[in-house]
Amino acid sequence: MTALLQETLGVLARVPGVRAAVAATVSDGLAAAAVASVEVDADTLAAFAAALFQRTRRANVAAGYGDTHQLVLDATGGRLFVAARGDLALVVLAERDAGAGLIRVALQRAVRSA
Amino acid sequence: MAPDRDRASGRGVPADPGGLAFLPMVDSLRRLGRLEEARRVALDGLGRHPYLADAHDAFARVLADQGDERQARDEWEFALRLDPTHDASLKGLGFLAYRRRDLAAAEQLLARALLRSPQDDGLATALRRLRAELRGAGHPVTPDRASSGAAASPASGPGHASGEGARTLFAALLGDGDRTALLLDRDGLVLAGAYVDGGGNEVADEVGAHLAGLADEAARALEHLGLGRWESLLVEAQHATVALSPATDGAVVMVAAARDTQVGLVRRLVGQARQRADAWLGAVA
Repeated sequence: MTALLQETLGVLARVPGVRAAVAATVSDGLAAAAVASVEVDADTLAAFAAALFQRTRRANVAAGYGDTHQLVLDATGGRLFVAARGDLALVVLAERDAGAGLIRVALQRAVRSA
Repeated sequence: MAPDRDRASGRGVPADPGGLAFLPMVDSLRRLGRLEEARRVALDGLGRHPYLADAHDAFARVLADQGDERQARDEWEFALRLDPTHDASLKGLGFLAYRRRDLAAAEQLLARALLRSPQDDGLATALRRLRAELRGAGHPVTPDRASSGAAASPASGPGHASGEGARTLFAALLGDGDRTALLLDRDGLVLAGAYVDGGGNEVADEVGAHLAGLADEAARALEHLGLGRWESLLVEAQHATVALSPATDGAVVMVAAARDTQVGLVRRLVGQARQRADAWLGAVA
């Protein structure tokens, strides 16, 4: 399981512009595995990304939009991608100018294979 | 005798006189084109379950297949009197309305059915096509949040006269398709935009309250991760793609579009809606 996750995260981390890829549990925001090309606090990333995803998931269900598949948070200092299947979330932290389309597709593939 | 043959032959009913086995049997016979047998089995089941909406629905389907639309409508309407939320009957009546080209009625019925069965992708697709036809014919449509987060018609809902400027702030941006946009203040209260569900209810306050909290959560995450200010949040959900963006004075712009809308278009729309919202907030300040 961990080897597969590491391999999946490794694929994500090789996408141009990606700084870090982390696997975490949505329910408690704990990091399960991480691959980073720069120094990134994987635990902090996992905790806040999972909290945001969980909140988004609840809001979407309450608003009638159904389950949440993926989110992209654009900020002045970077891009945060989160996709989940069940309680496993894959989190990608990328440069501000990283190609969102490429990362989005890679993340969708990774979630299916994780 | 094998169960499948039992089912197709219509001879399985006596083995289950009080049960509901006749319902799938009617469907099987209809699919095989054996409408007279389907009719007999449906009538037999209806005789044993006269107050069961599913039984009237099964009989109505056979009647519709046989071209007896008047009686099919009676059966579906009766089923809805027994169970006003019976989605199959809503779909059936919607189908009949569409067939007689009463598109507005068909749209209302299918929107109600979709509220009851939000997972029904086929129904959602049919409703989208129907709405496209309606727009082409110049009719207003009733948006349905369960399928798409659809756009409110500028002329729909209360407040059309008094708050028209605010309600229709984003109408020109949204164009064709199932899209809506809201401007929310920092507490999640609606400042502009409109959102009417398939039942004709104004749901902007409810949707806004649920989604506005995401802005705080996003800002909190970014602060702890040292990523600066948030510019947009794009969410792909089961039935809709939703985008949020911060506007002036802590306000938030939200755009929701049908799931099959291109993600890039939704992001572009929220950027345009944000510009419009900022200009509007500046003008009303």
